[in-house]
Amino acid sequence: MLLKVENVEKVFSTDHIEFKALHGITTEVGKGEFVVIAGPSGSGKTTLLNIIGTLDNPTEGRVFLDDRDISDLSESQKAELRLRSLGFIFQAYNLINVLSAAENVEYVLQLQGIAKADRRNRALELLKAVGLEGLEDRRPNQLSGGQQQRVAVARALASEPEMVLADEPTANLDQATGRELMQLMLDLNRDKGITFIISSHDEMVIEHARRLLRLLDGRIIADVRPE
Amino acid sequence: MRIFMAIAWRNVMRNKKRSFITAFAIAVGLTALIFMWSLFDGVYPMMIENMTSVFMGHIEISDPRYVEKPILDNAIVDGGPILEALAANPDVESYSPRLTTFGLVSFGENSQGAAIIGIDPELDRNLGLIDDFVQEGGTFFEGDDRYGIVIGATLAKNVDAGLGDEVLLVTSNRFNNLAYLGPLPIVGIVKSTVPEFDASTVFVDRLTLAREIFVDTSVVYTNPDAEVTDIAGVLTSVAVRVKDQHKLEQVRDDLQQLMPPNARVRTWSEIAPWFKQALDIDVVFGYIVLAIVLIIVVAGILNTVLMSVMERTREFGIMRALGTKGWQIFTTVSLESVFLGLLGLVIGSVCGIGLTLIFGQIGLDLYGSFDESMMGQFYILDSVLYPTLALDHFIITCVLIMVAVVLVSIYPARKASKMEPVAAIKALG
Repeated sequence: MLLKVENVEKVFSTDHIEFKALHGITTEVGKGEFVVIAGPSGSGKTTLLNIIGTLDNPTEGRVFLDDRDISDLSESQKAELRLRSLGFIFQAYNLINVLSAAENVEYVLQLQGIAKADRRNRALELLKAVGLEGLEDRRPNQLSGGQQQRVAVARALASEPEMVLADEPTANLDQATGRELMQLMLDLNRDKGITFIISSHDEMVIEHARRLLRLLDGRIIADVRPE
Repeated sequence: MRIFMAIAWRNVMRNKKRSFITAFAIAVGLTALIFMWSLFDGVYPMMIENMTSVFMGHIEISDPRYVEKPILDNAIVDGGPILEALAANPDVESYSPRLTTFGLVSFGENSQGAAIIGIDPELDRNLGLIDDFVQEGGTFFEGDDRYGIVIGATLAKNVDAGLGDEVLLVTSNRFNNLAYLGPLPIVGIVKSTVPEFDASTVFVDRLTLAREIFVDTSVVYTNPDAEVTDIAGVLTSVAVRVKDQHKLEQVRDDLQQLMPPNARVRTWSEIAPWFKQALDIDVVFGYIVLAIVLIIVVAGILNTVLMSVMERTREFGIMRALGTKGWQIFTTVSLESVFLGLLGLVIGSVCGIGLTLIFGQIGLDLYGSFDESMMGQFYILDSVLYPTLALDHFIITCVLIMVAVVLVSIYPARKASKMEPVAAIKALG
């Protein structure tokens, strides 16, 4: 099993208030799955995704990636794990503004210490794969929202991660662009076997789910595999 | 590392106006600092030269008792070995023995108190500038003029005497008896850069003076050793110019080893400590300006980089999420400060060095608007000042600014590197 989540709880607390965002979440995700975590705002989708992606720590419970407990890693170990094993796509403003599309994709490869020529070729290949051939040298502010998200997808795939985590990737896109992006991720999942876990409350995204985890008030209320 | 340098540089360039305002503030401060140091570096040697070249010399040798109490009893009467040691020393450029006493300058019905300084004209001509200040028509004890006096212009005016007039000098001799010199003809009138000097000094031949005030045929010596037989060794001080001022202390110490026990060797800064203190105060002033510039640098960089960090909170969150380590973000933000600092440093250095070189050529006429009487108060300053670029001061200034830049970058860099990815990604910036 690629990912195992065991009894994960998350409590956010301030001086006066304690809020339990996740209540004992337990689930597993296999290699090559295309999972959509759906639910209304405040249901805990992003919190769960953040914990899976080691961006946040669970209050209780464990998360295993390839049978390795990733709940108690140091900050440096988490950074290394995110760099080598995980790809991220966020809702918007995903890119480093001062880098071109190709450089944004190369960034992760550079952190991994890959040689210049190799990383440049790989970045160009990935940008071509996401339909951005010819736009490699454009800065984020010279790209549309959809094009920026495509760059983010290319970047998420650059390090050949075991799993890509996408948080509301279509939220800031129009319907047609969102649909194109979704198709791109489906194709990559089908053709390359990359595991995707996507949090979304966008019905179009939910329609395309190959496995759907429905969350409500921090609990999984449904785990289905639509036909 | 290259990617972090690229990100840092492009972020500096992202808000060009803000970055250039910051760099400009650093540049203005640095320009002012370089120019100020250069002015000090140009003016101090000139002031020291003016101070020492007119009359004082770099080093003075005298009996410490004479320094405490300038009376003839404290004069050195056996100065021959001192003069021989100076003549033989390769570090000594020139020297001039002096015999100084005090008395009245009298001409007709006019008289005024003055310092009567006995000099060896040939030696003094090599050491000081007094001979250069002799007004037209006069001489500085040349040829037969040796038996005469050279008088300060103001003093001559006060006693209403001119060239060729014969004046009488009245003083007391070593035995506290009245001694008269003259009447001596005025062979030269001196108008120097030192107004006090011109108002209160006359020069006579040292041997002539020594003969008059150290030899008294009417005195019967109970102690034969007290009788001065060699008047060439009678002096109250010897002014010395050295070849290399940087070796001043060393030459002083070397000379002291060669001196008889009653002679003490002092440098100009020991002779005129007030002058040294004035220069030191200027240096302190320089450091205060440096501190102000550093505060400007710190405030400018901190403001710019901190704003830049706050604006890019989300970007740092994304970078962290992608696997960028804390120290890598720390490095990126620090590099932004360094680039801003370097930008200011380059602009400031070009302007500061350029300004120094230009004014080093044409000079800075600070006192051009002052009248001549006012100028007299600043006799150790030339009317036109020439800044000189000193490499050590330039390097120290640049290094201090860069150290300040690096230190001030720690706070925003640390802030950026410690951002929690989730909180940072949620931020609007």
